[in-house]
Amino acid sequence: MKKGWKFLIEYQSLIWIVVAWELVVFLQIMPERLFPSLSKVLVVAFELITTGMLLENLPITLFRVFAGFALAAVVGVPLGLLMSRSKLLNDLVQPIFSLGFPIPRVALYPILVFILGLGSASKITMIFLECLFPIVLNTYYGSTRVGKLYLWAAQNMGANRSQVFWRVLLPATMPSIFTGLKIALPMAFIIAILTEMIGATAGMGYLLTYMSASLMQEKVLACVVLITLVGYLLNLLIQKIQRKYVFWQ
Amino acid sequence: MENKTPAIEIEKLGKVYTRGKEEVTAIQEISLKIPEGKFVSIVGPSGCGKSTFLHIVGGFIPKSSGKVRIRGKEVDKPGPDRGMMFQESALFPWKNVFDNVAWGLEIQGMEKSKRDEIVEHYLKLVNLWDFRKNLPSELSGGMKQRISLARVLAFNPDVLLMDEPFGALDAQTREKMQVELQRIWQESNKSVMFVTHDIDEAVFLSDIVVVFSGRPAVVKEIIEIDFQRPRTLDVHKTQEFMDIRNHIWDLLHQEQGTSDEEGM
Amino acid sequence: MDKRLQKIAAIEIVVLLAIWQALASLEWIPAYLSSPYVVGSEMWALIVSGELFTNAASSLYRSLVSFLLVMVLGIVLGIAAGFFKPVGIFFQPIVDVLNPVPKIALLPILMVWFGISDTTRILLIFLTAFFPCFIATKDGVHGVKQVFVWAAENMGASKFQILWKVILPASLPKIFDGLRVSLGLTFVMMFSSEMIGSSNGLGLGFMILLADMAGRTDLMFVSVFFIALLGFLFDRILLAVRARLLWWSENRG
Repeated sequence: MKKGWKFLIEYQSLIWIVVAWELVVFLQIMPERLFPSLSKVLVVAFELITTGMLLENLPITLFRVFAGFALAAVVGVPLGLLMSRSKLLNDLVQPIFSLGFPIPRVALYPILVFILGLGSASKITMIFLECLFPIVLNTYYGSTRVGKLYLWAAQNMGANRSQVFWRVLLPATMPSIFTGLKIALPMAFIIAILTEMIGATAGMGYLLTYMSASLMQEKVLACVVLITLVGYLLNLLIQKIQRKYVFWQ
Repeated sequence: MENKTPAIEIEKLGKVYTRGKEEVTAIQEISLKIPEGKFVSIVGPSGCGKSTFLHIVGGFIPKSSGKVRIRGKEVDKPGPDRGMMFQESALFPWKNVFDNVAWGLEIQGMEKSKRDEIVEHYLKLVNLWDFRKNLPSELSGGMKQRISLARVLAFNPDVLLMDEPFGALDAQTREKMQVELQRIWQESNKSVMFVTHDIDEAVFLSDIVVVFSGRPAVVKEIIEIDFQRPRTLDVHKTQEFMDIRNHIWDLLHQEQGTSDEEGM
Repeated sequence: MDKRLQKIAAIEIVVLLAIWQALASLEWIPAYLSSPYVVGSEMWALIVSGELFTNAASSLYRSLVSFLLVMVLGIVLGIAAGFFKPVGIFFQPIVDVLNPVPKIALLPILMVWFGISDTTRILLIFLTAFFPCFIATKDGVHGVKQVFVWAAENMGASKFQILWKVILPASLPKIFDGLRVSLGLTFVMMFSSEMIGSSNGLGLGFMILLADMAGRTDLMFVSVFFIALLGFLFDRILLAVRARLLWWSENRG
């Protein structure tokens, strides 16, 4: 009983929002066409799952997300590590990342579409570009901050260059790498939805624009609910992985 | 003489806090009177609750039972009647030395000319007037604590509360600071409640040393110390000093046996 | 970036532009990739006619109004949530649920409610950029050393004085970290909200959309370059303000 009460207090803000929403519907402050009740939205969301609409589109989006994200990780982590080891590479690459960091890179997307077409290639490239920044920068700063003492201790115990790299530098940089990955994955999902909304023939973003063309607000909201759920689960996934592999932090 | 109001009077003070489902008694029931103008140290093993005790007197954390009176007036919130000095520097890093010392006076709405005069006086008292335009981050640990002392003295509290103010300093700076503190204290003539785990520091500085026992904290013994003031560091070498020191060491050591395994 | 890296950056940009120009002149790349010369002259024409500035102005208006809202509400609510525990608990579930949502997905809904208007765009930008500022501010407040607050209480400061004169300055370094992320998102969402939804009106995103439909990649490059320039410029401004306000801090850079 006490536990349930505590739960209610803790989540009261969400409950208030739901109550306020349903009140607007109930008192018909907004026309129902524009402001459907949440129960209706959930029913439609469920329909989207059972009719296979979700299964048609979600895998395509997830494929783009993970392809772009994985590419960025595979390129970004070694690049960040090498930048911290090699002054020449750092001098060449650092200015590009410093200049590119504050600019809204998605503005390049329409040009990418021109070059690569509206399919997955342009979207994966965009996701890759966007994820590269947090991954490289966090890896780089993390590995420059690895204490000299760790490296000296390893050398002192007779570790050679590759052993120092694989057994000391990499694990010591791991928490920072994860910080980068944790920023990158939600970003990948956002960019996937965004680019699919700008132009696509499949994917969750496409489903959303397709539904909004129907002018049925409950269908659009159902899509948003599903996208929210996926975003939330992706977040959870990366947290689980982090807890498993960076347990010492 | 009992008819005089003590500077600090603590009556049956107790502190119980809950950790998970457990109730832990941090302070059993402490009564203590600190006479006006005296320098009183509290020593005890690490984690015995002496800092908690001081924070309660300062009004920063709530007590579970008992009363705290400053010059006869009951208090249970922080206030400028008690000047508190912390172990870690509480100087604001975004204000220079001068503005840090002036901060409390400004808050209390004192006019600028008067404020500047007071700040100058205390910065000169701690011999750091030349550093008034520096940032705290540009000063050494010892200097920071002298500025902290000046800041506390500037708002003219009735009593000073000091929570291991030299705990983070190296041994040599520490001894210098003790001599400094004695000089400044003698000039200001405030009542002081000083918490430390360093027996030498307590004996050197104090008129009265209160020995706490650990977990829950209770008063084990109260020792009066009457070396001539001002004391020099040479006092450490006297037989009398060593006797007192050894006595306190024995008192604490009986304790350590029971509380060391949990030492914080 | 220090002076040396700035020099390298300048050289790299010149080299890249030269390669692009060379490839275009030799016709080794498709014509739709344009060339720096064509893009440059188009940009000049748009600057002279003032068209670029009218578009940039309406984009900037949307971005800056949103950013201002983010700054005020993000910092005020962030400090409240960090300092007063019940407020923090109240906001936590909202943040947990809404933060990972791609806010761009809300665009179709906002469009139905508020039309294809600046209200919709500003709201969308605000919803996206609010969270980093709010979360960073709250974290910043949590990171303020307890003794700072105690020392202020000791000197007789009121709750309001503690918030204004201790908590705010002490959490400012963290707040700026959050603001920098928020500012970046502001421009991303400015572009996105202009790209999706409609093809009439003013704004750099619209310029790209119109150029895209006309197949004028040179004009697209001009708009992209200008959006990038604005993003870069405002980031610099934010960093300059930060360096000024955090002159006392070790990580003012």
